[in-house]
Amino acid sequence: MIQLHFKIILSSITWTALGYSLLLLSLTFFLTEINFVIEIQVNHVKGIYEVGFPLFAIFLFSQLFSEEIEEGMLKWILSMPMNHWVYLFERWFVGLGILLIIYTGSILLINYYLLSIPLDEFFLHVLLPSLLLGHVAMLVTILGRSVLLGMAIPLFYWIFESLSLGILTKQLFLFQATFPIPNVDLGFNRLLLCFTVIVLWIMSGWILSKRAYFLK
Amino acid sequence: MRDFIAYMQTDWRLLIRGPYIWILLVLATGHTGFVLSTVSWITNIGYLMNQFVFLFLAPFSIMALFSGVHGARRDYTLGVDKIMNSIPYHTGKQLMARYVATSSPFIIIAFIPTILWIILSINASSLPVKFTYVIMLLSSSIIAFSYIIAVGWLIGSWIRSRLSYFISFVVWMICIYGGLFASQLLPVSVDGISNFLLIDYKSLGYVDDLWGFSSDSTFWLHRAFYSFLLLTLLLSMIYVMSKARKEPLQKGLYRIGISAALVLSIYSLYLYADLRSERANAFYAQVEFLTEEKQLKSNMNSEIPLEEEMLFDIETYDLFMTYLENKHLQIHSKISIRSLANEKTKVLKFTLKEAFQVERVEVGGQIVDYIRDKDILKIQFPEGIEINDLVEVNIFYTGQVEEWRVVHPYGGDGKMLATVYFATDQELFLPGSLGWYPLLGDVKLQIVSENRRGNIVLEDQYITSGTADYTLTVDYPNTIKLFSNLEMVDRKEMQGRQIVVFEEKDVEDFSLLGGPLVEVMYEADGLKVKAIISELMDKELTYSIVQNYHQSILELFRVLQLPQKHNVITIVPQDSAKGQRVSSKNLGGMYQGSGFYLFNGLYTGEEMTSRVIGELFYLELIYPSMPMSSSKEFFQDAMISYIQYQTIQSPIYLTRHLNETPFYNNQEKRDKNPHARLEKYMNSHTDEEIESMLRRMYERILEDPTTNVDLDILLSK
Repeated sequence: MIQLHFKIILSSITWTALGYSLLLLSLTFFLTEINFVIEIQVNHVKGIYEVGFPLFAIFLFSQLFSEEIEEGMLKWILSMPMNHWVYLFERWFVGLGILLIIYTGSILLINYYLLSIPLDEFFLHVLLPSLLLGHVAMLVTILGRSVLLGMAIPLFYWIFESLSLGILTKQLFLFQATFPIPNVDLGFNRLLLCFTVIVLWIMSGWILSKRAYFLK
Repeated sequence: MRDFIAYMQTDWRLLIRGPYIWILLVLATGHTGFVLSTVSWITNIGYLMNQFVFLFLAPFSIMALFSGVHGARRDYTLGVDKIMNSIPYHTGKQLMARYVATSSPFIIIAFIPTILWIILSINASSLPVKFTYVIMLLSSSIIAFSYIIAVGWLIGSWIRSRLSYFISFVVWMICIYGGLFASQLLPVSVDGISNFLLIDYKSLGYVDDLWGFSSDSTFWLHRAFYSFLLLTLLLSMIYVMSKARKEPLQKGLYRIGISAALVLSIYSLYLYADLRSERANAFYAQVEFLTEEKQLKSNMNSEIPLEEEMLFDIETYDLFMTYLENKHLQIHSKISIRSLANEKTKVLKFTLKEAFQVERVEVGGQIVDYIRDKDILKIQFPEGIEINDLVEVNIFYTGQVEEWRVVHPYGGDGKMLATVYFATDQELFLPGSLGWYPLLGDVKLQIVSENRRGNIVLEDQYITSGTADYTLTVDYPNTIKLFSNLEMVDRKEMQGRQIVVFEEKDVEDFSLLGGPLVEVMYEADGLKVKAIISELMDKELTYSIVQNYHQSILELFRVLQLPQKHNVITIVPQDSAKGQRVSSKNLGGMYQGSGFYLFNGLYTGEEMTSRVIGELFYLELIYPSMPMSSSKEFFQDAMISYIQYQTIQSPIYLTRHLNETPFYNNQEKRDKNPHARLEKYMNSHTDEEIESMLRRMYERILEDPTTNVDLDILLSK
């Protein structure tokens, strides 16, 4: 079953997103070579993965239900006698698995070959924006019944955050670990992001449960 | 046409089916509200519009791009592309109908800033001068959105898989973020080309805190480039698709259309880059000249004796300026000078900007010889000027003023081509330091220096010609309002022109401004403080800022027991992006500086007063021109804190910067810290004792600003 879900997710965009994750990894290794920085530091890696990795998550998670939606198959699939929560969980689990494998692999490679980085911080703080934007992508793909919206809305969010640097989102600012804004506690901020991820997941499941929504 | 309308109706129906349009609608409404809430503190509506456009339109451009991709891929994803191919329809009409339907929500979104501008302008006390022009300028974002949708369409037509979304995102990143990174590497003449949206207007020089929205032609050349490129893309797509379907097509007509649009697009781009290159080259040539001159002088310094000091006193200075066609200024300076030298003087030196051509010089009604060497004008007196003689020198000259500089926005590494001085029938900015009227002596008008990030900057130097009675008569087109630090005593209008007379006695130099500006003034106790601000700034807020400046200046002079030598103090805010200066600068009769955030509305109430007092010392009202030193900074900290205490009763707190450090907790070190010691003294002595101590400190700094203040001596008295 997992293998089947994996094949469904593996679209041209997923492959490109995987390529992009390799590009991020290479960029981290060659940052000094291209004279972008004099010496690579933890903060540089943090910046690359907190700001750059969410793009991988957006493209990957937007593909979780794209095949069904683009082909107009979701309404047929949901009419089958199946538990939509299990259906969501299986697909999401595969997507999350890919994301975690790529992220962990990249971080460990950097930690082993480039510089020692605090792994707890990278898993508790740096990864969360990617998870949040990925889940936004998944929810909007389902809600909008559109691959276009599934990619465009989280990218819209990402661009706005990178331009405004938290002036609107404040406590929910995505890049607080790299560009800390005053009066926002990182721990509380990450807790909120974590809570939002859970809410987004439940909302995705709830929309999938409204089968009639996909017939309109 | 009937076909086209039918296609349009179908595509409109398809557009409003499903959640897409509703999500877009919610996003547009919600995002408008969110962005407005973040910029609501800004009282300068020009700056507010810049921030709104920047935060509002940029994220929507990615949605527009993806919608273009989606529009092109629609038949393919629905699996009807092959069936559609077998149906007889007109590709051009169908493609255009779909393109227009896809674009329409984004055209409305691109109009939102324009609607906001209209609402803000109508609610302002008076309609801005450039109201209609700004509507056109803001509405032109439609071109950018139409273009990016067409780019998405092209990518979606070319790559049918979902990969097209990723590729279009990469294109977007290269255009917007790539352009930002490349701007540090590429010449400034091509800066902004890839930025199809032209965000942000401020960093590109198209909106300024003081001058509002720019009428610069490069903005419209940029828009023209993308308009013609859009036309090229659309015609090419229709041509290729029609050809693929083997539809009857007027191929020749299409080829001519595509070629013409492409040529016009390239030509617009060429004009854009050429104009910017010309401006930037003039700047770099000036930098090179000044650098070489500086080098030459430093090499020859030991061999050449220092030039003799010019001992003259200007008694009256009358200037008559007429604006001619083609931005030419015709100026007549009538200067009454008294010689204070001990011997006869045969040469009189003036500094007049090189851009002005001297036509003739008259002394006592007789034409005399002169030598023009770059900015210097040497007037020959064959018979010499006797000691104490009063001579009347008349200098007639013409020229244009249009100076551009490559500046580094917000003191960073980015580059920006900014107009700094100009004289057109729409805007006029001629500060005294520019040398647009002859300044007495050999004055170095500009110097080349490096900012704190090591980038080259060109700085104006102001050296006063001394106090005199000035009269300025300006004959100018009646298209703009004129302002000066001098007082306007007369204004007549006739046949589309205005003759304005400004006058002030016993002042140090003067500046002239004109354009969409307003003057806000407060006068009391023999002191007049005025601010010349953008008409887009809030007048009530400016009035309270000016009042605060007035009160603080009087307090400063009272504490130091200095005679008030300024009758008028004129303040002009400087644009935050162009603000390469940390402190305000005397540009000849007026101070231009870093207080833009005050005038844009960041602070109100006591916080504003506190900030005004902090800014006050940048005006350098109480020092002769001298560089900042640690003792000067120490004195300023004490003065600022004391005036804040006197004005808004804020506690004297000089150790704010030490508070968080472990150092602060070490009592022994704290007792030795000068800030802590001074704070303790000021909190335990009477006002009279503190003021006396501040005066002693001020006198000590005037004697020698380089050595540290000896607190043991200072506080023991």
